Amino acid sequence: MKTIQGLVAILALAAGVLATSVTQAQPVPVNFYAWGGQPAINDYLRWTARELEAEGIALQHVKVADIAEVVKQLTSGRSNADLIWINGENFHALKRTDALLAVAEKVEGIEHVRTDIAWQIDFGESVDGLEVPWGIGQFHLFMCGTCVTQSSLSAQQLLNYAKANPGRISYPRPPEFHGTTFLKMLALDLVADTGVFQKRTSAVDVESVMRPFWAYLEQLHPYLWQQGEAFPASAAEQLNLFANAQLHNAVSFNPNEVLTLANQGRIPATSKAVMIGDAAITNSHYLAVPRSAVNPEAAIKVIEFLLSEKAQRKKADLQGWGDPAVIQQVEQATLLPAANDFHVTWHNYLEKQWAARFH
Amino acid sequence: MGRALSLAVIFFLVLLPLGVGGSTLFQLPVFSQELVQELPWQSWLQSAFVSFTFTVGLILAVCYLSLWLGQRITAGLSSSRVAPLLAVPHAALAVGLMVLLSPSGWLVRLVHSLFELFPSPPAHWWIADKSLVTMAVVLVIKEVPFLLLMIAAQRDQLPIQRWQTQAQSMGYSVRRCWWLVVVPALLPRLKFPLFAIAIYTLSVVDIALMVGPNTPPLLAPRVHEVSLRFTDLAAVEAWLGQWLLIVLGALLFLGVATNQALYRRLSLNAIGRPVRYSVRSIRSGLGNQLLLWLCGLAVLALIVQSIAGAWFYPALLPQQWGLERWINEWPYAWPLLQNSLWLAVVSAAIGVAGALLVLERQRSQRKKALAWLPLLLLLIPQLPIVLGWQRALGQDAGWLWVLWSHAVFTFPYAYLVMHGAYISFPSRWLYQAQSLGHAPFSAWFRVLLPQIRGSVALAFAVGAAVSIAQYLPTLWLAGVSYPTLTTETVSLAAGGDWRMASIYALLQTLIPVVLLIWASRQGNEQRWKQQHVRN
Repeated sequence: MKTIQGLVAILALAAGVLATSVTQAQPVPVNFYAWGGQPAINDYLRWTARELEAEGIALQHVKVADIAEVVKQLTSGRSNADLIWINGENFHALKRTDALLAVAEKVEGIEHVRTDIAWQIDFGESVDGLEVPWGIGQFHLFMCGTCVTQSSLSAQQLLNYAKANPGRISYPRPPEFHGTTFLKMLALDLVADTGVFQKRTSAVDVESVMRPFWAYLEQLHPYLWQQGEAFPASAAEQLNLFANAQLHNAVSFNPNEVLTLANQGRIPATSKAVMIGDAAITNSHYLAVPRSAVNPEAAIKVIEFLLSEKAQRKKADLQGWGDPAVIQQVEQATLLPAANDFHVTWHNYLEKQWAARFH
Repeated sequence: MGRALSLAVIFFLVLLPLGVGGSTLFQLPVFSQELVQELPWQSWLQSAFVSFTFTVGLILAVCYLSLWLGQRITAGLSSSRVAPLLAVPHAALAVGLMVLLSPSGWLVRLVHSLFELFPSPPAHWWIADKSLVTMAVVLVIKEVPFLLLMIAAQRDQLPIQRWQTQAQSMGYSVRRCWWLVVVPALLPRLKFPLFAIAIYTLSVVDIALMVGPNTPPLLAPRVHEVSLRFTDLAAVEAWLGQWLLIVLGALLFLGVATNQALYRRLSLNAIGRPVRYSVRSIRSGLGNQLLLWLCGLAVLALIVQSIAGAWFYPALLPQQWGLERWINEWPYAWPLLQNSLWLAVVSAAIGVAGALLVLERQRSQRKKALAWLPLLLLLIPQLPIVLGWQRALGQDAGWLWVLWSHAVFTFPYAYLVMHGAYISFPSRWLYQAQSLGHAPFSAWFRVLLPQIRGSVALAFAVGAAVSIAQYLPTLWLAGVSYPTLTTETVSLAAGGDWRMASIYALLQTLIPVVLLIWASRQGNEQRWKQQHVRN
């Protein structure tokens, strides 16, 4: 008899524990796949995860070396991502395969996004509400403080500089996107009618338009780092070479980065931001939710938090990440003069032609 | 029983992984006339050619350098001396070496501080940041210790002492005896280890990305690159690239075999001839020392990086120091350390147990040579196989599959490391024990196992090091649930901030170093006891 009583007691206890664990909602996991290369960004996401705990969300930053890994998995239908950090080519691939949820309309606070940035167009392709802007990229160079006096260099001035300082200028090897953008910046400065870059390449006489550009690169390459026979594999690798004075330039998409990296002791404090030509190619980087997400509602909540004034202000902090805010409430450090990014077909054209000529 | 178990091991750790992973190789991508025309054949062939010649050159260098260094290794000493070298993960080693030797590295800075020669880092330097030379240096330092270990394991099976006495009585030097008698006998025994090294060199991605040339890139990083892209053309390129890797791998196998045959012929020709010239042999002990020093300095470079603040050319030491990074990072690193540790320990134990079963079966069948079947996964490029696993098993495959994917690679290494000692164990001791009344298992457990304790410990430690270094299988099968020190190191390395990444690289080094030092102690203790028993 006693054993039965004991059993009943244990069962009751177990039922009680079960009941409380059901009522006390488990935090909802959100797998956020994002590039994990920068400690400052990783720190920012750790802070985000702590803030979101209160809302019952367990944000898991899955660090990848290249988000294309995840895009590939999503397009082949195998992924456990709830939220991803993308733009450009990766967005295009996902849009084409209809792999993204239309989240923009569901995000509260989307109306606060700045109107002075062209976020509705991502690399010449309409966003259609499939992604939500998170931050702003503006392509420019870092150069050492004593190297140049001006704050922008024309393509011709860059060539002259390379001739005077052989082996000190370089750019990441395309198809790395900083490298491809470097090519675009030169093309903007070298081609007379820049309107063509907003059109599809098939609608343009590409051959004759780009002739001066390729001729310029042929001239430039022998004066590059390792005589143009090897290129840094990434912007990050180039940054290391720049910090060690092996190179006189690095490349960046974050207009505040020259300050934040100097704060972190990653590059010499005398480094300065320098534009190529008279405007910086400007684009946004975005957050998107895949159709296959297990917890899309929670992912949208995460986006709402990341667009909140608190989160955007923290993101723009120059002691941390220093990425420009995309909402109106946060007062801005002035951005560089902006140039629109090219239509995505140019991207493919440049990558392919570059590989054919310089491999 | 033993038969069934060893077959089970082969099935789960060799055939199953191959079947699961290899299937994708036979799934044709969508070909079209247009795509085939668009394919940059020429540059792919160029990549393949450069990769192949580089691998052949490197494998010859590693082979003969190790044989030269191997002369000095008295039996057993090898494990204790070179073992720690095996522990440093290759990516960490590459970074450490770049900090030492690159155009803005310590060496140049030191020269500058003494002679004021380089106010800015030299634009032309013997070790460029990205070149085949740089890659060769990193790979040689990584691969020579492994081959030394294999040499030490295999030479124990040869009656070298007797050969040397004979040779000396005929007036040959010890050195000539080594090159003309011992090496021809050793080379066939090193066939599979050499081939495993060749395949590793051919298919290594991370080191090639960091320090290899990239216009055009070598074959393996190029396959990796296109397999991340999503155009139809890239799919075709990735598929063809994988097959190119496999074909080149097969050619390398022929190359290794040819090397062995050629050497045999040459040495037979040379054997009767008088020595016409005598190269003053640089003491090969110095070579071992150099390896150890380079490796040690590379680790020191990582330690300094991890506590450095700002540190710019031409400063010899960081301008700021601090432990904050370690303190801030520790709470995040600790769970990863736990994941890495349990995966390493359990998968190494599985690998060792599996290898013991297979070796025992081999012993009972009196097959002495290294078998190819247990080594198969080391003899095939890893990239296509792991891609296949991911496609078949999905992204969050669960802990069991991750553990399995590690054991698949710890098993062949454990087999390689233990083979020499296990096979040369005299079977008659087991029979004697059985005749004294021990059951077969008890005889095995009480007589054989204690005698090869050193090898088992070493195999366990090497297995753990192999597990710790697994990047692709861990990320692709369980990036979310089981991030490890290695997945973290690689993703941080992608951002190039080595001050942070070096924390993870050091932690990653720590576990295998501790285990390897422990293992070499086991070996020494065992040898010491054996000597005293004999005396």
